[in-house]
Amino acid sequence: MSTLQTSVSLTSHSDLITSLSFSSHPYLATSSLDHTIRVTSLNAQTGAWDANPQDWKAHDAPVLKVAWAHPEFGLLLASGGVDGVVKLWAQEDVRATPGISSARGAPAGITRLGGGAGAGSNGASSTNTTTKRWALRAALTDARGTIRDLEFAPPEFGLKLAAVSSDSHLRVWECLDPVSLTEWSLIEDIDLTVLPVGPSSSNAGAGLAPLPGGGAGGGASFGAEGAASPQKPGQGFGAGGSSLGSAAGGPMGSSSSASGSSFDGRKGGTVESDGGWALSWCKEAWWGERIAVSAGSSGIIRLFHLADHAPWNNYLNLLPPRASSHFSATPPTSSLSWAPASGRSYQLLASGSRDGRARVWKLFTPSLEGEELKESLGEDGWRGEMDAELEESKSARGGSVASVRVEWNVTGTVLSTVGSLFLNLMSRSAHPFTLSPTGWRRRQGSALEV
Amino acid sequence: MDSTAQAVQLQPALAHTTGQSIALSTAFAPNSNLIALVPSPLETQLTPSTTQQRQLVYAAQFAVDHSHRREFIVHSYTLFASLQKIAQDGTTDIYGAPSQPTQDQLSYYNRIIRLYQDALVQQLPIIQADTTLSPSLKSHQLTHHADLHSILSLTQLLYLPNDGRGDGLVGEELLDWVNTVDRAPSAEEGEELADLSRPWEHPNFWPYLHRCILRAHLLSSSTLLSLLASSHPSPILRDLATLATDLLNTFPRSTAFRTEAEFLHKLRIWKAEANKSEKRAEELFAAAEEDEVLGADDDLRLDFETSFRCLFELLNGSESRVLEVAEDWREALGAWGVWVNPGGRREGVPATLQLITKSHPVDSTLPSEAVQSSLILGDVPRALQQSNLLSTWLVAHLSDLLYHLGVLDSPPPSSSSSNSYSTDLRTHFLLSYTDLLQSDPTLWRVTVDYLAACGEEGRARMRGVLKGVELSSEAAERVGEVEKSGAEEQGMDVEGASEKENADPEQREKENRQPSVVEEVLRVCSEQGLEEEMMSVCKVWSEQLIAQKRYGEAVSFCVRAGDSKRIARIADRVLEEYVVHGQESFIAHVDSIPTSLLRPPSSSLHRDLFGASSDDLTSASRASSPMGSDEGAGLQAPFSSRLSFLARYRDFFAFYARGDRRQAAGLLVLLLTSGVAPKGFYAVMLLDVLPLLSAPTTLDSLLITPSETYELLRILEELTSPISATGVDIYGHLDSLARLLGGGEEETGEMRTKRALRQLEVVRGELARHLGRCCCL
Repeated sequence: MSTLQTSVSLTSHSDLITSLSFSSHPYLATSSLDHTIRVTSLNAQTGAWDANPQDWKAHDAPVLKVAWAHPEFGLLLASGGVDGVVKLWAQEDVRATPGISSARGAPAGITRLGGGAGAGSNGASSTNTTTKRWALRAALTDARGTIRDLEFAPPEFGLKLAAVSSDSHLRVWECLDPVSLTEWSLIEDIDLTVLPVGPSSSNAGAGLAPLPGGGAGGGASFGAEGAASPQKPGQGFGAGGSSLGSAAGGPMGSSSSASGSSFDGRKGGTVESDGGWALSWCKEAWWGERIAVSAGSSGIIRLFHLADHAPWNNYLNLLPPRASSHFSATPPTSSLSWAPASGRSYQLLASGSRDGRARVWKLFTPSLEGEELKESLGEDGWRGEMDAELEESKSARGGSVASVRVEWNVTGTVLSTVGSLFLNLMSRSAHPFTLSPTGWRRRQGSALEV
Repeated sequence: MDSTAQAVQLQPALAHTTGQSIALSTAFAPNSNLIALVPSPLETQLTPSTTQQRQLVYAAQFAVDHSHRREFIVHSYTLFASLQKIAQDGTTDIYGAPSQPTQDQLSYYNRIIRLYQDALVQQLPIIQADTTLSPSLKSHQLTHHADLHSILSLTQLLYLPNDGRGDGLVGEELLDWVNTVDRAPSAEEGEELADLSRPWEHPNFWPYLHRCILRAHLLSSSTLLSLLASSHPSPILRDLATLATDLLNTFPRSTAFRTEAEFLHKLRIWKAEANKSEKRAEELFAAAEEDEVLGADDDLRLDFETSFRCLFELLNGSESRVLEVAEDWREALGAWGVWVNPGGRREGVPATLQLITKSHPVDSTLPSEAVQSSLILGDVPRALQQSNLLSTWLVAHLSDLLYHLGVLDSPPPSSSSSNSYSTDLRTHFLLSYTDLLQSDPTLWRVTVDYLAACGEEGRARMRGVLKGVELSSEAAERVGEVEKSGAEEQGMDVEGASEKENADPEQREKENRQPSVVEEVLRVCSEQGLEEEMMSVCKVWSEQLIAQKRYGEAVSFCVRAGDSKRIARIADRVLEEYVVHGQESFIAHVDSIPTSLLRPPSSSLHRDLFGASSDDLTSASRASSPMGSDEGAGLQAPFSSRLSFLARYRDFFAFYARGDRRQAAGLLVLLLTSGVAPKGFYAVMLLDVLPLLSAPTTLDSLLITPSETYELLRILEELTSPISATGVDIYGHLDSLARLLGGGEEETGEMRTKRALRQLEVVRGELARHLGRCCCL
């Protein structure tokens, strides 16, 4: 009955693809170690995602993550990479004489809206053709480390982008100018390394207070503000020196040299290979701006409430159980995915860890009718518990334990957990009749072995 | 966890550099069960590799069910939808579960289940004719459909009888069902026997005859027996055969009688006759030893004796004999209602089956048989659980039907424990069906309607599905782009109204079709009461329209979304059109905006402001507006302050174009002095003042009065003073003007500002001269 059908399309990336993301337009964006981003759409004839390819060199270092803004804000793509810069890309019309393709290597200057559109010669336009091209709208240079994960907030909160970088800061930017998309203001900058293990809020004195929003200039002016934070990124875990870390020491060195001089100083020779960095927004706007973040080697998943006119509040922490001898404490979390609203009394959050396991957390939201046992609940009335721990089916294969990436489908009914050698699609069984001991079943024929 | 999940290999296999281990990354497509998969670097190796290799993207479809075609799914969906409508008319009990359905509803349900079966039957010739299927797949699909059909018809027989109440005799119906599901014995066997001159010597003669009787194929049985009666050499056998033939020919079938009593009366008479015949047969057996043919051959005689005894016992309804002759439980069950217990009713069937399965167990490895027996035993949940293994389509529709019949347990009282994930069976199975439906993005409407029947959880999923619907028919667009990339892009450059005229029919069709998806989504959202999604869809679509420069339509969608900020942005873009593409383009875009929004009738404030002078123009442009004026009726000024400016500025051009310079000047000054215009556009408008200043002869012919000139100079000073103080255009006041004036690509912003500033100096000079002239008059 249920089958897994595959089709293949060839990209122009010359190196491994680091992340991929569908927009609902629909476009597929992929980022690669070869510093490029590629955007394609569905080829109606072949069914492969290779129509109208546009690719360009986006960063001066490997690009690690791409994410689309909600289509309410038009076609807007964010990318982040080893150079520590978050870049925002939008499509714009480019006049070009036929035959000259502007796809590859589009000049990456910040252009104001319509700025590149030639010399306003009225009426002469019909002889030229217009092509679409991805142009850089803004470059956010606040981060002091590799951008490891980024995601746009639900559209209800405006055009906001969160990123977590290997300096273990959670940063949230807001776009002040949705027309030209050039002006972004850093509205949150939370240092995750100094937070206590338990929940806390910025009132408690830990971490940085949220920066006042509303800087007027472009990204450059934020660089100075960010530099004031007394961070030495990554030192906490860099010294760990486990077998994994030392094994990766060599390649990291070459990474630094390959990715250009601009970020070398900032990174300060961090060994990033031991930690995990991930974030995911709560998809249900009803609960306000909530985000789950994990950074560094600790693996703690922190849930923040970023209220509009109040200081941030780290209201709940989730601790993945220690499961492997590789890690002295909890395994670092390398992937987080908050499920879409399910119409139930709780939220689901999936996490993937460096120990090769995916976990599903149930987050119980405060009951609307009220009188629950207040003392058993965390601050803010939220409570979390681990619902399932899903192990890699073929953990015996391959040498190293791979980190697991998790993602939900659009209805929140299927969870993909993917490691180095497998893809599993899991569905939550909804009825006792089909309920297995863990409550999760692998979809028939959906395990994929590479 | 399902341990039977098999591993699937990627084709082509991942080719990666030896020694380099890799991870994978995935992404779900927003609108279908598609997951894209790429080889990724391990987190420990985020470094470019030395070897260059073009990378592959794998796209995998999951939860695809190939056993049904789209037409069938849509067809059965219409039946499902009408069933929901009928069910809604019924009352519900205090728990929200349907109370006992009314007689009318029952007959509707009966009709629906028959239509489901018809839909399945209609698929058979299509599958047969499908040349793309391999023979094995074809036969598998045919069997699959037949299985589904048999389960539905059994459900109908047992739970949705044609008479509505189901208190009639069930025997003949059951037998009929058995004969349909499992045709036996085959007609070929019968023909083969009938063609023989001495058929009774064929080894299959008696088995065939007995099975014919079990299945109540009375005509075939009596034909064969009459051959024996007429042409066998043994007179005793001829007598026996005649006896049996007579019995068979007189056997009363319940289907032939109008009332039950009449049938039972006839049956009693026939039973007495059959008893007599059996006794007579025993006498004949005793006499058989003296028979000239049989007496000589003991084996032959005993053989005939056993076979005839068996035959008479079957006719007399001997339980043990029926069980012995029947090949499986279904055959026995069918025979039971005709021979053993012809007066049996539906209540008795489960007990009968239990009796039968002692000697003929149900083969539980065959899902369809398992479902059938569970249905007969009245174990509905178990039947559904087993149907789930057979077909997601079947279990969804079956559980829905049975739920509405009231034979399925009502859902547990909600929120009994927040921990419980359980929903009622029907919801559960319908939801799993929608999982499959989602693999086909074109079926989103169908998916939504199924989800609508699934309570809160269905609604939550519905939001996800609706958000994922591809609003524009981009698939068609993409094909177009591939075919004629050049031509299409040229079309995009042609502005405004002329675009539609120039476009070829294909493109026009595309444009006509595009909004229909949006409207469809919006309609569904409003039907389901999903306000937020409706707004979101409007915003998303207006954003796409903006990207296509279809500002007029974009505005009307913004209005529906109540998004005044976005309208302001659109207004800015239309002004941008003026700066970049000039006046004609600007006018075309303004005219595409619905008149009711540009010039809201209720906005008396603006009418006072601008006087009645432009009324004639208003009506003129209303006629030329492509959108109906009803679109934004009732929407008030908040949306329109920015749009009004567009309208007035467009009026200015119209006045000027038809030589009405006085009107034009009045309007322009009003726009500048009343503060309606956006600040960034003042500089551009000041430039428009120039031609209106020239050569007044009398005081009356002055287009711009001295006091207005003072006012304009003040505005000019306001714009330029910060720039002359700092040297830079901090507030961007001259930005639009600078770009309007143009210049080479290589020009820096500073040079542009300077040029704009020079232009404004010209304006200042002209205004001063004008003031001077005014004083002289």
